[in-house]
Amino acid sequence: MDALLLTLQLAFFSTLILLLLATPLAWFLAHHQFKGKFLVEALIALPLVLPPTVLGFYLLIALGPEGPGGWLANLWGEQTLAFSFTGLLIGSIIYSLPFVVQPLQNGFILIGKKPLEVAYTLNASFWDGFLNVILPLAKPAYISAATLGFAHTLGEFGVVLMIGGNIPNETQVISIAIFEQVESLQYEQAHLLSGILLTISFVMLAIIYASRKQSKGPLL
Amino acid sequence: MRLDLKLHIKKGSFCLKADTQIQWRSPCIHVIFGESGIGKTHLLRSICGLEKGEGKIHWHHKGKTITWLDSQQKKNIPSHARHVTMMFQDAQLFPHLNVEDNLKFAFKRANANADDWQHCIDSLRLEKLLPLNVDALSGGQAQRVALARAILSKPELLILDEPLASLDWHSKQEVMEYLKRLCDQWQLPVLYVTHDVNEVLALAEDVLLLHAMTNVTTVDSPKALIDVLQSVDHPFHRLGKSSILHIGTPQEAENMNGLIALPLKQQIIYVPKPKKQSKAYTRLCIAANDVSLSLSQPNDSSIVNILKGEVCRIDDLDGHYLIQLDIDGQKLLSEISAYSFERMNIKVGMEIFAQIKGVALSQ
Repeated sequence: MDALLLTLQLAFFSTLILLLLATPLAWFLAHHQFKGKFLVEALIALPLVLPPTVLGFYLLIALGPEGPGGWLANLWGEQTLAFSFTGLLIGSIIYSLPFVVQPLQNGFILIGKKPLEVAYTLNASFWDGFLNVILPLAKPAYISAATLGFAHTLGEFGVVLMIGGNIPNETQVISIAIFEQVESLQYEQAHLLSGILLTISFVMLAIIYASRKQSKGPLL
Repeated sequence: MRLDLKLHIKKGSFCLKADTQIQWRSPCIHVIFGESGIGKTHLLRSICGLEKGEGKIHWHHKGKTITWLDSQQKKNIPSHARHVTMMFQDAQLFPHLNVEDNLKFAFKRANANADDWQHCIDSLRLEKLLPLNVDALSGGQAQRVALARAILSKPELLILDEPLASLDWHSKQEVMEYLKRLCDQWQLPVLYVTHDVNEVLALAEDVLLLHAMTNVTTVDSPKALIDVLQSVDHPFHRLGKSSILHIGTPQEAENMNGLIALPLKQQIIYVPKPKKQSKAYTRLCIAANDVSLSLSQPNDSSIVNILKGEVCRIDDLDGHYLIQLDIDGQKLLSEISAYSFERMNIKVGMEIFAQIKGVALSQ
């Protein structure tokens, strides 16, 4: 059960940070044209196609004592960010980035610039207009992005295995716990955890599709 | 109130140069008139600050001069600080808010008080619409709400970008009435963009700003616009291809069910009685393709208005002919096919009968 709690924590914090990071990124990509935009978009989409082990491998190096992660960890007296919850969080954020950026970007494109321009002419500043017009209009896109980001982090396996190892209470997430239980023939435990994961994932996807029907808004 | 424009707008292959002053003697409606696609919207968006432009915009209001744009000095006041409100072709109400909250969005961000609110709701008759969702509104209602929202934001200048283009004739009339009344009551200078001659005639009171292709020219009254529209050499005549006839005081027509008589010098035009009886009508607008010609006086036609005139000018418009007639000293345009033109053998100086299918009345 510790693994379940840890997984939910990881998914929750990853999603939260991702929404904050992806909002300006998606807005920028939706409304600005610049040279090499396709390269940025390809880079963000990379985790969609890259084997998680490849991503995990590079992350392991980056987070390790020799990489920038190690330098960062030195600031609070650690050797490395690999095999820690923080490292796992960074990995999840990169791994789930496209699942959050893309729905938001599509949502912003669909809304267009017009509502914000109308808000400007009604004496609203950019932030005023963004918070009171764009965010409410983008609600379906945010629900979709949050759900996908959360669900995708829940299902993470390869990246976590590479950079997190399998430390109970620190880095042992549910998918790895299941793998270990099957390896050691504890099918009853594996059934329980798998059932829980299946239910959560199904409920989350059901939320997405239900909200899509209600709002007719932009989703995937 | 005066708006000084010295603008150079470039977007891809599109280029617009404007160097003009728009002066509001008393707050009233100015019209920017021109064909679609020649950059009227770009010009407006630059005035609002929604589009980047090169040049200068100065706004003189209540004894103060404010520089909205001076690209040489890298000065560009953001839209929300210019106190200009723009009303768009489609009402652009916020879909996540109901009617009341749409209005409140503007109201809260403006220096308006409860009286303004009530006055606006009452004069646009919006009370019943307040709790509705915006997608439940008809086109005319949505534009009324958009107009109220624009006015409640208490702008120093109100800009309307073809706000009636998507409305039917009846809703158009209604919104135009409201617009005129509100601008009078609120002493609000308005810049109104359209390519519809009828809207110009119904709304414009003072200066009209015309602009063609890359140049902006001004004429200073609806009368001057009429002259421009009638002079066949001017590029604008193709736009209008309409004639404007000045009429005497409308009179009740005897023995003619539901018609009123509009006297010209010698002849009379009959039109259905307008819903609102008004003696203020002084002009008629007649589209050139609503006028057909006949060499002899037709006696068995369903068309009521048959006027006698003289051909005074003929223009070949690629497969069509634009015939200018002199009717009691006023000019009337008729557009006919090349086939008819040749068959009738029309020549300048000929006496001819014009059958008029439709007219629009304006004040």
